Amino acid sequence: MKHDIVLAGVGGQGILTIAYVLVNAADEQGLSVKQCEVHGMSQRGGAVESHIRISTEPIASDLIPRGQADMIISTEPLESLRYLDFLTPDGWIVTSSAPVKNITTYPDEQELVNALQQRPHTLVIPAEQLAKEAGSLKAQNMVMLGAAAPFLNLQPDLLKKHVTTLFVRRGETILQANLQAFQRGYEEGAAHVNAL
Amino acid sequence: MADKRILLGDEAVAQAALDAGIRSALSYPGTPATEIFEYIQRNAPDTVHARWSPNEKVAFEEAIGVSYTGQRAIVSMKHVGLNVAADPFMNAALCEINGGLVLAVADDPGMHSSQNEQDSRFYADFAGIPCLEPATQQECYDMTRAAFEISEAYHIPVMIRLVTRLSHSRSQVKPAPAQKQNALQVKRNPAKWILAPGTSPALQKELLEKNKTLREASQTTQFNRIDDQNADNRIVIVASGVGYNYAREACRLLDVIVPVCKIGCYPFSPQRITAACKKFDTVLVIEDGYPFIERDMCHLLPEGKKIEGKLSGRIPATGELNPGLIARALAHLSGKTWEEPQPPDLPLSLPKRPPSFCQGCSHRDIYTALQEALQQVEAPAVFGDIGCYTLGYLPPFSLIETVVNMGASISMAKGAADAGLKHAVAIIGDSTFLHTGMNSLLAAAASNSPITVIICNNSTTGMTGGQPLHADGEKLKNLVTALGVEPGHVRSLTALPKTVPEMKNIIAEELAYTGTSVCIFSRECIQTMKRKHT
Repeated sequence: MKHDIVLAGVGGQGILTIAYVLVNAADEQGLSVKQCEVHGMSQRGGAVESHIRISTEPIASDLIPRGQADMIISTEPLESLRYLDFLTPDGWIVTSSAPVKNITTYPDEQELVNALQQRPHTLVIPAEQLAKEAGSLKAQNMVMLGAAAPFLNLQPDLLKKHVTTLFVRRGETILQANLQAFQRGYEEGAAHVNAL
Repeated sequence: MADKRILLGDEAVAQAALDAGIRSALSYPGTPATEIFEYIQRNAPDTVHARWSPNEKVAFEEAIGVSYTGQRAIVSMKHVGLNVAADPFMNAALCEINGGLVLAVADDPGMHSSQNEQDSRFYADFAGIPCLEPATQQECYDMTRAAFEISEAYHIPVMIRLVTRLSHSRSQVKPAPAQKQNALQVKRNPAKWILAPGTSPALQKELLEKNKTLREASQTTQFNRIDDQNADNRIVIVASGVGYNYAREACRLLDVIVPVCKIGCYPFSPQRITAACKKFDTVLVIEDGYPFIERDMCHLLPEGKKIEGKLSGRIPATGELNPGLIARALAHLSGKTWEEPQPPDLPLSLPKRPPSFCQGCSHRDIYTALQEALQQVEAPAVFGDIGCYTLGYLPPFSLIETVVNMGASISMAKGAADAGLKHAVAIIGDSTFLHTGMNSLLAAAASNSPITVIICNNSTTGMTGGQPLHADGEKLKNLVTALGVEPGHVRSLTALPKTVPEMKNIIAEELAYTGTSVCIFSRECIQTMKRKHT
């Protein structure tokens, strides 16, 4: 079993938090993991990506080879399209629908939706709405983690455990909002997987 | 024994240094090396001294001092930081290193966050010191532990060479049992520590002897090995660091078995490598960085052997390697087909999303003021420096014209002004000023060169995540005055949207002055401020 996942988003959206949870849950399940990321200036509102590799076998390369990723998880719709050359032809795009328009050249939103719909396997999640309902707009990353989780051979309880590890020091309100955000995302993802 | 844990390559180096019983950790922040020191600072017991240094040269010299006392030190920096520390680095190789001295240096092939992609293995070779190059996070740990042993056994500094893709990639690491710190024990031996005309020739000879011994020792090192030696193939791969990982991945993608000679320890033994390549027609050399091994192979291997790599053009000579590039090269040589998937046609073009100044960042206000002030003078030139404010070269400001190296803004402006350029402006961050801008300002003030220096004082090293400054506030201002700038031309103001007109006036006044002036515009970095309040 292997999951090669490209995480995409905009600096500041918390994609490394998603990575942390996935990697730690996979490790606890006894799987091999490698996860690489970009630090430095690119975090200043620019496009950010992280490669996550999870496998029952030893992993050689820290980078996913092009055309080999099973999934793109994106916290932003435009960013979900930036790494398509990494995705296998039948790979999944699980993306938030909420745009981050910090550039003047941001494309028309309908065109974005059309481009996403051209792909065979796309799941667009109203992450902003779900995070808001869960009690924290900032928890959109946890909605996306939850939405991707049903596609993966990772135990939801372990994922939740590591969400808790991350947020337990931030107080009960923030912790519960993030767990709830994960749950709301999970329900959306699970409904989609069950309908397949 | 400590449990397995998930660590970045940088963090694995740091954990190994802690477990090796270091007394001190020294560094100046720089991507992708910053996390080595930060991990040590976070996790060190009270018996470990870990404080940022104002620059890499200072850090390296501190580390040599620690070694002199018989105790262990790790000094970490990015590749271009080693240029700053090159003087102590080159000369420490001649000293009789006492406590283990390990330099962890992180190169940045592909220049994700750097001005060039220089390969530090050439520095190790130049200085004549051993270099270990890990491929995995576990090797980051194991090689750092080994580096301290080698350093003490051969009385020589040892380099650990990392690259971005390993520094900033996580995986599981199993630590080994920790060691106790060495006791403080100075071995007074001036003949081995004074580098002067009377003493250096003997030490230079000793260094050559050490190199000979190291080369011989590398015949048996566990860090150089051959996988699948007996595979039935015409091709052999020679690979180092993450290049080795990509070689393995490429073999998997193409479903071929190719012998792989993994190099992790330099200097390597020429006999061992020529023996390894003997029965093969073609040698494919894979290394992230410059063709360091490949160049040696061209001298070592007999004529008629085909050597493929960056020099032959089989692998791109610049940029970061990736598994697809290696698969393509290997496929070509082994008569297989490998098509790199192309990005699919999209019904829209994807705009780039470059990094930009944070909302509320004081640099925005300073650049707005500078932009307005410059509109009033003829043919100004703005010399930039290294930090978040480097973004001032991009729209909407597009103001700075040069970025060369840390501290260069002030000295370049001085050089240009002394050579007749009017309205030379240098813009530099506080941390960069304290790093290597101070000497330049000393020179400018001494000759009262007509330059206007703007110090963006956000009270931190912002771009690398917010490390503390060695001088801030009044201390920074006093420092500028002490360097010789006329007190009347040391101007300071808080940088806010509402002070833009006043900052603009100050800059305009100083542009009109024909001597050295410094404008210190201050407001805390928005990122460090946010962190304090969450």
